[in-house]
Amino acid sequence: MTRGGFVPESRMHPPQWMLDLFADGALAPREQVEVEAHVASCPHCAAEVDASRMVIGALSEMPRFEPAPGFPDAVMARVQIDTVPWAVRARRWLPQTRRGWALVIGALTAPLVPVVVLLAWLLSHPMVTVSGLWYWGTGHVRDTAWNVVAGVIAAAIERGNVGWVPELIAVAARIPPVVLLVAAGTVVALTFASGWSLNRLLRTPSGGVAHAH
Amino acid sequence: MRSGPSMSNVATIAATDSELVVRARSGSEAAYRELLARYQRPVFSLVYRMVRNREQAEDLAQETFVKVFQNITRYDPKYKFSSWIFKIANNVALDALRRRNPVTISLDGAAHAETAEQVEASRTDVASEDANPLEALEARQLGGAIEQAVGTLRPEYRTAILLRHVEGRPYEEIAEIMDVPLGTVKTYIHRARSELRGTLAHLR
Repeated sequence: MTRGGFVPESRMHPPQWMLDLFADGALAPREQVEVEAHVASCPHCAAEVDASRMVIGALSEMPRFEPAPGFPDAVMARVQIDTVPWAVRARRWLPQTRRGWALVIGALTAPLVPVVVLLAWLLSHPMVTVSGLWYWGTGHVRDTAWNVVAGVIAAAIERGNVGWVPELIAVAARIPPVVLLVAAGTVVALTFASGWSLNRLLRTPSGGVAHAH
Repeated sequence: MRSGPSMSNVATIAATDSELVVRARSGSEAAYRELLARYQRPVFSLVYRMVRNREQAEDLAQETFVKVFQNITRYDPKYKFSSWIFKIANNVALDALRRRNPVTISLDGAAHAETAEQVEASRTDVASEDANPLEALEARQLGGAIEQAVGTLRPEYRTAILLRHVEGRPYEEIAEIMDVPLGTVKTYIHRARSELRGTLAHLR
């Protein structure tokens, strides 16, 4: 046997499966060469290879069949294709009227109003300056954020789930104070807006019907 | 005056399977139709030779395409589209064979026929005078010695041998389609060819 253990020495015949795969060119290149050398000098194996090649030839001549002419239409009739482009689908979610746009913009900007009013009120005091407010705000937000991070880490350590903590710390350390301040401001503003909306809703009688005059 | 193909049609025809899938996902009916045009014959031929009944093969080939198109968003582009569609077609055909009523009349004769003589004795001559010319031709082709011999193979051998020699797929892709190791595919194909040699020798 050769070192690969597949092709016997020249006087021994390769197994039939190997001759069959050789006929189909499906052996590894080295084995293909070795079997070819053997077949060239062995009429018995050459006859085996010819028999395999005859079967392969007959199989390769088998034609492909054509389905009925209406086949593509029959398939397409059964398939529900969403031919609406994504841009059109996205547009369905956008407001269709000026009033709708006004409502959306109002809803998005409303949370900022209390923040602006609060800032204006604070800055109306002679002791309060913009830089002082900024220093106080960023410091306060940073302290709060770190307290939250420390609390989360402590909780994770207590529960034994700390694998993601180093990643969280790395992410938190990269966040600029400005982003933290904006995020905190947004949260505060949204809280105010939610409270205000809830208050309005609770004061509005339910089940009322609006009539056109 | 008859106009030539539009630029978009030319682009669709020239596109690769992966590009067509991307377009199909964005809702291009032309892309779906081009995929159909490319694969309807290979898929139908495989399924037809598996179930050996034209009407059922049409239904199963349709089912294959419907499944493919309805799940096109799940197609993983790291595999060849042809592998994916052949895998679905093969599974659809195998399911049909499993469901098939054992008394169904086969073109090749009784399902229990084991030797070429038994196959020949129980074989149904489908080339009747009522059949249309195309079906009569196909029936004659299916009734040919090699088709008959292929029809006697176990379904997994049949799939492997058809994918290899009719569709010209490499062994690795056949392994992917059939979801079996490469060595198993080589065994299937070798055993199928050995059986075919024996059956063809008997039929001659």
